[in-house]
Amino acid sequence: MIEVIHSGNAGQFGDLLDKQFRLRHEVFVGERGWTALDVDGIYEKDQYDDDAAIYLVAANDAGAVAGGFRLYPTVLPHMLSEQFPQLLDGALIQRRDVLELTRFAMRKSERRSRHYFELLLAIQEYGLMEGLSGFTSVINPLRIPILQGFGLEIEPLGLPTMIDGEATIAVMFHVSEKCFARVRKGVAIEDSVFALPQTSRRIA
Amino acid sequence: MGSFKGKHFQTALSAIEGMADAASMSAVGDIVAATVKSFGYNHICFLASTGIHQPFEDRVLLKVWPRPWDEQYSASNFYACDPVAPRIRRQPELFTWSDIRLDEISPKSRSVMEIASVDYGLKFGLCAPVHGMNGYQAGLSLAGYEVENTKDAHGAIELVTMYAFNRFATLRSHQRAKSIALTLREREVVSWVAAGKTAWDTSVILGISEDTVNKTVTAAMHKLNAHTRAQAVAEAIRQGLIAF
Repeated sequence: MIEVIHSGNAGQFGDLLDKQFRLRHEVFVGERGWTALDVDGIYEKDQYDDDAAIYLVAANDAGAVAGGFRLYPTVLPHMLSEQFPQLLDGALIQRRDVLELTRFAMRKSERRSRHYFELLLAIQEYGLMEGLSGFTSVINPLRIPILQGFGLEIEPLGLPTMIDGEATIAVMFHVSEKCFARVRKGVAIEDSVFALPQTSRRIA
Repeated sequence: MGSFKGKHFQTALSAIEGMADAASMSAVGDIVAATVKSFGYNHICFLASTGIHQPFEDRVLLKVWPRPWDEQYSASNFYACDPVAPRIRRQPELFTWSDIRLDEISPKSRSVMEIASVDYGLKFGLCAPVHGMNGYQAGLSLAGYEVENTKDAHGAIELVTMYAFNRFATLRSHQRAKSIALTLREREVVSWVAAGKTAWDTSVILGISEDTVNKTVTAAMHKLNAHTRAQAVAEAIRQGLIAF
């Protein structure tokens, strides 16, 4: 199941949110060596982990975090606009119905698990629930065929570019009923991936 | 940056959009070929991983090779020692022929590269692998005389390769879905073909005309993308449409 955690309900999900920051440290600092993001050897955080951030966290019944990602309004200064504008070949997308998706992290043992598939499906399900048309994101271009294989619709926003020795590309994940149905089939999950009916939260 | 798209990105985008609208695998292939030709490549081969033990020809998604090279490649069975082939399976990142270290490949592989370079003047080659969730899926192998060897050109080719593979896969699955829709009568008739019955035998068994039997077999062959009755039988068995 996936929990949607935002500034309005963070108090209720303090434990999950905490574990999410620890997992991010494991993945991004420990595995990928992004030491600049190391807060204190335990958590990984940056300037976009503020009140505007929304976290989709996949947890098991025992409350262990398997993975998650972060969403952030593109109408505010965000990672693509401030850190990686060079990846864009064309205008920056800043729209209320487009969020930025960052910090997709999976625990090593969960990278092919149901939690991973739920998070992929959540991109579509959450997007439709919130009336979004898509998510911009910076990813490794080698992920494109993998994600397309699961049915995601991905639009490149520029050419693949090496940044600090890592292959990167800016993309838009489109959200639509058609794509949702395709990803459902691709990951073979019939039901909603969310624990509770979500109450819509408008981006201020 | 800014709202004007760079030339190479524009090239990639138009190819991607064109492929999304392409209704057949050959139409997708034409777009890939036109795109890479615009970067100077005139030796183009797009190979799928499906059935790695199948012969080279059966895995070709697209091949545009000048005839002399094509003939020697097949006559001398270059595929068996083409140094590009194992690397494309192993490495998900794009690479060029110059990334292949001659001291790490077999003498036979070295001789293939030498023939390509000396006899055919192919000075530059580029390979764009496609790796999915379960590893190697396909690879585009390119070569040419005067090519645009820039990061942007490589990036555009990398993108076009990925999107082409995705489009090939989608069209192939549509084709399969279409072919699976054999009617009950078609399955019956193909089953009797598989059992070695002639059209006349089958017409007697099913109580229909011989002409209807032949028409039904032809329809099934078409759906199964088969050129012969034997191929249709093999394909129907492979897809589990008839028991054997």
